[in-house]
Amino acid sequence: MKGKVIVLVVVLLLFWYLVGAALAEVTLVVATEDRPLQKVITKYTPEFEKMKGIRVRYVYYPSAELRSKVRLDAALGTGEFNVVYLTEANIPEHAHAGWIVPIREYYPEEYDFEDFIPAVVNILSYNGIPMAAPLSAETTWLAYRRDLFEEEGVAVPVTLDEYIEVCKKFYRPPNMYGGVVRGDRGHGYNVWRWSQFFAACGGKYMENGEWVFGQYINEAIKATEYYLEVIKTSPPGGERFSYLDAWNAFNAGLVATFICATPKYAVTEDPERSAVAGKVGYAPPPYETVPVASGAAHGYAISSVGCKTEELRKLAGEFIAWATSKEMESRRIIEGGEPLSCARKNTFQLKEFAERIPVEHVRALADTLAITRLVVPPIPQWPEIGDNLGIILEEIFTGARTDIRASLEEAEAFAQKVLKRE
Amino acid sequence: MASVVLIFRGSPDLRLRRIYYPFFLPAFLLLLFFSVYSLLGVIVLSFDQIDLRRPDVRGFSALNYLRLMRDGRFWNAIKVSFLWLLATTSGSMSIGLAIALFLFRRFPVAEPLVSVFLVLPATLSRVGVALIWKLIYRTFGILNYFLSLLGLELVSFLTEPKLAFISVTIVDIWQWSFLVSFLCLSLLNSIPPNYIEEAMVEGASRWEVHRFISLPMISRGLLSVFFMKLVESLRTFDLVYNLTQGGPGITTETLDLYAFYQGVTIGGEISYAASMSVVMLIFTLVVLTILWRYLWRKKEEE
Repeated sequence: MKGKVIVLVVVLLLFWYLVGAALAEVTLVVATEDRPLQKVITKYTPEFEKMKGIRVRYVYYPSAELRSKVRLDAALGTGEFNVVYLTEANIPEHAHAGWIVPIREYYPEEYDFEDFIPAVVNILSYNGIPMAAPLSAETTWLAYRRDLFEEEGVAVPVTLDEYIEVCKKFYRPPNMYGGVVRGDRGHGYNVWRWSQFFAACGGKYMENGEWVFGQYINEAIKATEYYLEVIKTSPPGGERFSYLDAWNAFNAGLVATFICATPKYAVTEDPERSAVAGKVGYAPPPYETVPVASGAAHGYAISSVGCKTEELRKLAGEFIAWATSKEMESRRIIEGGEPLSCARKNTFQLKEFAERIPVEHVRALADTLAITRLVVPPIPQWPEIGDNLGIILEEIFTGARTDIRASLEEAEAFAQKVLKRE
Repeated sequence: MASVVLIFRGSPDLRLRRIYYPFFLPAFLLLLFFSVYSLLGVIVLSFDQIDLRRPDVRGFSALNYLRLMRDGRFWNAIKVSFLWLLATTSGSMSIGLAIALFLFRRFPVAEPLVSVFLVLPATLSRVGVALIWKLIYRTFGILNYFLSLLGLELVSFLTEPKLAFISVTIVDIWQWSFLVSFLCLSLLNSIPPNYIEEAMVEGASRWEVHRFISLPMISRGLLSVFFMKLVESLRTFDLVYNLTQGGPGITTETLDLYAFYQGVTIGGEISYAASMSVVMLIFTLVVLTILWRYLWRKKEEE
């Protein structure tokens, strides 16, 4: 009997030790979006875990929910996430509130931060200080059905007027539509794409650090009118198309042109996932007065709320450096995780990059990158102002509002109210 | 020891109750605590100025309520919520009752199996239902496919401002009218059969039987089903959010959705959002209490 009790105690102590050891293991929690490049990072994560002797746990959210979850987590002080996936639209908000820490302080030298494309680093900076390490960079270009254009002798449009004419020419429902855009509301959705048109018409949100949208109402009206013209040549329901809807319609061969972001290139050119693979041409986006392509960057940042100790911040920094390293970026390019989302100069020199991307596409990308800049304002209030503008734009696109000037002036008044609140 | 003795004193009913209470009391007290604490918390929050983006700004005032009065989007949300309540409750009740009256005593052998199918839609999660119907409503979805077979133009069910609200209410009515029909059918089956058989023997038609016998006899039960659906209709968030996010524009934006946007996603103004919740609570309590008293008193008088 005594022997059995001793054995039981020893087993319980061993169990307690093992459980305690498992619980004591450091786990880095990363809030992120489930996109192709993230899949590649997740695949190679055991390599990092083995290197550091820790666990990495990913928490996935769709894009819109990710922004609000990360914001709530930081604002309420919960600190569930150690590393957060942020976009250019959210960096000012998080940096201003002190929810993230400057990334250079925790980015190990050996991972060569200087190799990132400077313009991309600038997009993810606040007041000149880099706040996140770039995971992906993107620009906006015009994807068009090269086969249809060649067949009908149509020139690639350079101006927005030419673009509208092309859209009308190819508007042949129900099997072919001219153009398609994002209609779904949100500062990262319809406002993002509409801002491309706004900038191409000469419009600006900010000038010398001052909010000037109200001075560019005429440009905003023009941009909206162009946008509406494209929607008229879109498939039914195009007024509220999400990015996914628009992209699927193009990849299914239903639409002749699509002003889109570069990350989706890999799927469009994949014969197993796209009906138009090999038939698409690319060019800088059309403009009215200012040749411009709206740029964006997404990256990983260290949450100051989730990483309260220096050790945890250093660990988070090492993880971010590993995930955004030259080696990981080349893996993402080679393994199909969005080859045109590269944020490092080194990637463009890789043999695999040259082999994967046809030279005419590289030329189009280079031409587009030359005019790429951030067109949305890098201010903490932008998500709130942008979301309100998104609702108003959606109402205009669906016909719920018809007075474009009054609607945009209402958006301006709301923006002024939000800015005064700060 | 005294308390143990106490359990065994008194009438059998009293003794049983003394045994039961200690078992459910802890859970009851816990629920009471969380619900009262949450309620008081929301009320206190509504009188503050907490903004997630500006954590240093605090202040006790009724400014949020004054702001609500001037907020056009808030009044739009009230209007949409009220119309939603009206449409989904009346739609579910009328369709549910019609189905129950049709099925009553028509397929006696198959009725248990039919009852199972009636309950099924209500067991689905709201999010799942929203996603299924989003696919059905898509421009190139199955509904438009059948319309195209009939030679009709494609319809943007969730994009047309005038159609979006109707499309979303149809989803709610679809999900709940069958459960309402199941409940009504159960009420109808509780009527002593001799009343109906005697009426039918005397030559009453099916409609006359329902009008003069079945419906009056189950009216109290129908009232309970009505209020159950009314309260259920107050929960709109998951369905509307997943179908339209309150769009196009704000045509389907109910009050709970607007409060969510203000507090969580767009503004971070959780105190302002809390004030909307308080207004919604007061509105619900007042409306339900008046309605209940009026209808119940009418029943009593009858």
